[in-house]
Amino acid sequence: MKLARIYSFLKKDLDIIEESLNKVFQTEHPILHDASTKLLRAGGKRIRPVFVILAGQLGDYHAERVKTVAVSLELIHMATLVHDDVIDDASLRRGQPTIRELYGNRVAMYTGDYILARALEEITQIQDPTIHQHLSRTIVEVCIGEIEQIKDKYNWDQGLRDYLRRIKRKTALLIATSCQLGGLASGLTEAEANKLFKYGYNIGMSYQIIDDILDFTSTEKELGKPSGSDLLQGNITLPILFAMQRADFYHLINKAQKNNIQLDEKQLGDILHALKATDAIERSYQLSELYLQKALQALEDLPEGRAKLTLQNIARYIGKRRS
Amino acid sequence: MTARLDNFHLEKLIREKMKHAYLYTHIEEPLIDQAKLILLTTILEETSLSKAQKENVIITAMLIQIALDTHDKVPSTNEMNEDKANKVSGQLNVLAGDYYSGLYYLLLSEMKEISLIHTLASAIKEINENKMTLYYNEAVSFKAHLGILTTVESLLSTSVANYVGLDHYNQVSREWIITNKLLHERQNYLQHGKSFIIESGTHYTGDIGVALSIVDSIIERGLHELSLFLENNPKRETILGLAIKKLLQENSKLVEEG
Repeated sequence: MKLARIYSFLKKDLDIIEESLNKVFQTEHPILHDASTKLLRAGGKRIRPVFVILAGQLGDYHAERVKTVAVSLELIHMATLVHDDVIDDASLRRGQPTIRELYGNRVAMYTGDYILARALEEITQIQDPTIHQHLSRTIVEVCIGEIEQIKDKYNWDQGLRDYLRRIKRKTALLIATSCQLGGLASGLTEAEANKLFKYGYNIGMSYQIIDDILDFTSTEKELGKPSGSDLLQGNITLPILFAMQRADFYHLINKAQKNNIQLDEKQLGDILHALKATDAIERSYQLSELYLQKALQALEDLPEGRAKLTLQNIARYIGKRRS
Repeated sequence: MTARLDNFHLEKLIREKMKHAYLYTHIEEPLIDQAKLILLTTILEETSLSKAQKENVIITAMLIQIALDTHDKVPSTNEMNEDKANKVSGQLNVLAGDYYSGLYYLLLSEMKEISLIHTLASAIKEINENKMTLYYNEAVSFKAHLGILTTVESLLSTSVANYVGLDHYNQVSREWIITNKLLHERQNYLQHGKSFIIESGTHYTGDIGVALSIVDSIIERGLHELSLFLENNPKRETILGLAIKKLLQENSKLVEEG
């Protein structure tokens, strides 16, 4: 089953959000308009708006406020993607040429800044300072996470805590905040919204761990990039950290990066082969499952209904993801 | 009457806010635009806000300026990957700019200044739209190009002035900022043969000499307008008033020629 089928009953709400996203980019500059529209048309799962809406449905659903939060969070995510493509020197995203590929780095920077500004213009229609305090802290943490990711590249001495803190900032926080703000926008209490935050945080952690596992276990065709790309780029993820706890694997890594911090394809092949001979993948799945259970636990005291059921189903879907 | 603002102290506060140990091992610590800091200090000094509020508004506006300036340092396509150090500094300039933007939002949300977040976000949006026009050299003339540059450079200050109900600062803000900017660019060009702004003038005029003379005429007009502001403004002893006086003295030759 596809993820989108789990929340297919949200189609009408998601269409309204899509329409609002289109309206957001009514800029007079043709290239800025073109770049933003291309980004929008490239699509995406709109998973953050989905979390905002579902969290909102757990409270006294306030359609306009929920829509505003959902649109703003998707815009923030989009702005981040545009700038990430500059950082990664990426040519393609979701099979489409990136803004930096089409117009260059400078235009990508202006487009990202423009989209973030539009996101803040939108969200400030809501006057509740709590919402802005949560969101702004998340934005700062996400930036710190990205800086840390660059700092930790090729750092073989990092530990599990470094990795977990990094993926928290990189992925989990924005999902957690989507859930939390959706709840707050619909009048849930801080305590209830915090439970949603915990759900989103744990889902995000679980999702990212599985993503990091799939980078080693999926084929190039499934991934759309070569297997082991993360490691090739110097990103040390959970399976490698677990495998490095074994002396022979640690020795292999040490040998591979001794004279050259950039691994070559032969070294990568040897590492992938050795990795699969360890229990690192299995242990990584176990940790992902642990986060998933925590996500489900966080929902326990929240009101029963279709929204809660869907949040539970999304969690289970993410846990079963194998490609 | 609240205690007066101190620009050295403000600069220290801005640097403390931006502090990030790893960033500055790979990228230059951002410059704080003194002309803009002077202007914002003068505007906020005239309000009845508390000293802490005034400082926070100035810090946030300067953080945005620094964020935008930092993103202008990101190299154009392909330059970023020439070598590893260049690549890392390019990547960190992207993230540093985003980080400073996040800090502005955080600071104002902690102050519960939601309307000011909105005002400044609108200014950032407009600045980036105008930057696109500048990047593609789409103005009708070099003079018009410099007019757009003036808007890009002064929009944050004028937005803050409008927000605190002191829009009479808008005209002098524009003159003060563009005059300082062009004087700096002119000096760079004459001393080192480099100025992105003056060089963009050749796109419109086809001749660097003509571009330079247009820049000179705008500087002269700016200095003239600033001297008129000083003559007509009873509050000459403000930080801005004193800075204008100093600028006019330093460029007295240009004023006389003008």
